[in-house]
Amino acid sequence: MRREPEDVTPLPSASFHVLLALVDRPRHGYAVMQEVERLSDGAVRMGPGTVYTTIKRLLDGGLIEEVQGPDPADPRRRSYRATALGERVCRAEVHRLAGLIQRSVLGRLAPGFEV
Amino acid sequence: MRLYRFLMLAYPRSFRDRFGEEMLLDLEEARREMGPRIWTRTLTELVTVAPRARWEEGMVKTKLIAGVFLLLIAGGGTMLVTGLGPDIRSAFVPLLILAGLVALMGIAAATSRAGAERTYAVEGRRWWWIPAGLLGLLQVAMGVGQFIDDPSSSNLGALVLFVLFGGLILGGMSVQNRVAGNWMIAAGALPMLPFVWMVGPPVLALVTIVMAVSDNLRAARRAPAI
Repeated sequence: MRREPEDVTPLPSASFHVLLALVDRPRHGYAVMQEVERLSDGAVRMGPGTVYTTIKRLLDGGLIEEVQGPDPADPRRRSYRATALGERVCRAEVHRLAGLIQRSVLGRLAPGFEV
Repeated sequence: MRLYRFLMLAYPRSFRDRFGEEMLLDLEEARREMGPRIWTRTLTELVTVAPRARWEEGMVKTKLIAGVFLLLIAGGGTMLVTGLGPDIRSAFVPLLILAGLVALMGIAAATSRAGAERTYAVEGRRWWWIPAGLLGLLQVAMGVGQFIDDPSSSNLGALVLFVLFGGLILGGMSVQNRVAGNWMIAAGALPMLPFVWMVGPPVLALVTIVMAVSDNLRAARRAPAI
């Protein structure tokens, strides 16, 4: 059965951050930790436990997939990237959050804000 | 790092097998770049993230739910046998209704094909089919033996019931859809619970129902929660 983004949104915060970090290119766990910290301007800091439990959920949900790691000789280091469904879910979540802000008081305070 | 390898026991085994090495690599890398700060985050996760992972893994939750379910069924059945009715028939009525409901769930699951993709060849969890199979055969043997011993009309009814529920267990073991099959096995085992004085059959029934219900709860939990 084909799954739609609406089936899994809204995403929990950790899932959304990890998915965002994996949309543009494959990353391994530690790179995801760094990218999440960069994207959130240091506001969200994840440890290995949070990153990998989230990666497991996203893998189980078909939103990300495993790809060959940066060093093919080292099977311990695996990389992950968003699937087509993961990209659509990520886009839907961005639109949902942007719409939320646009419709809120903050949206009226910032009239130039566009989705 | 040896300490962390030990502390990782807080996470479920399947999770450690899959991600343990990667977590160690990441921690090593983070320790080089961030220094001891990473330990605060990592140790906090051991008490916040790891218990949640264990809960999601379901070993705690499924056994707990299956235990409560059984306690209610077995306790209720025993009360009916020993306290409320003059004979065993008073316990059979609610158990037959309950078994019918569980069987209906099995049929509903079979027609919806939920769980059809699950096979024990992949998961390798089948040991409890031994007590389940024994119970199914025992039920058929009890019905036949009782009827041969005294071929009355009430024993003919008992034979039909025993064969029906024994068949439900054996049929549940043979269907490909494991969710439906497990509900059928649980339904077939239920009527054996009130036979507390026989010790063996109710114990087999308890084991069978716990495992069948646990297995289905695990399957339900596998529906991805992102």
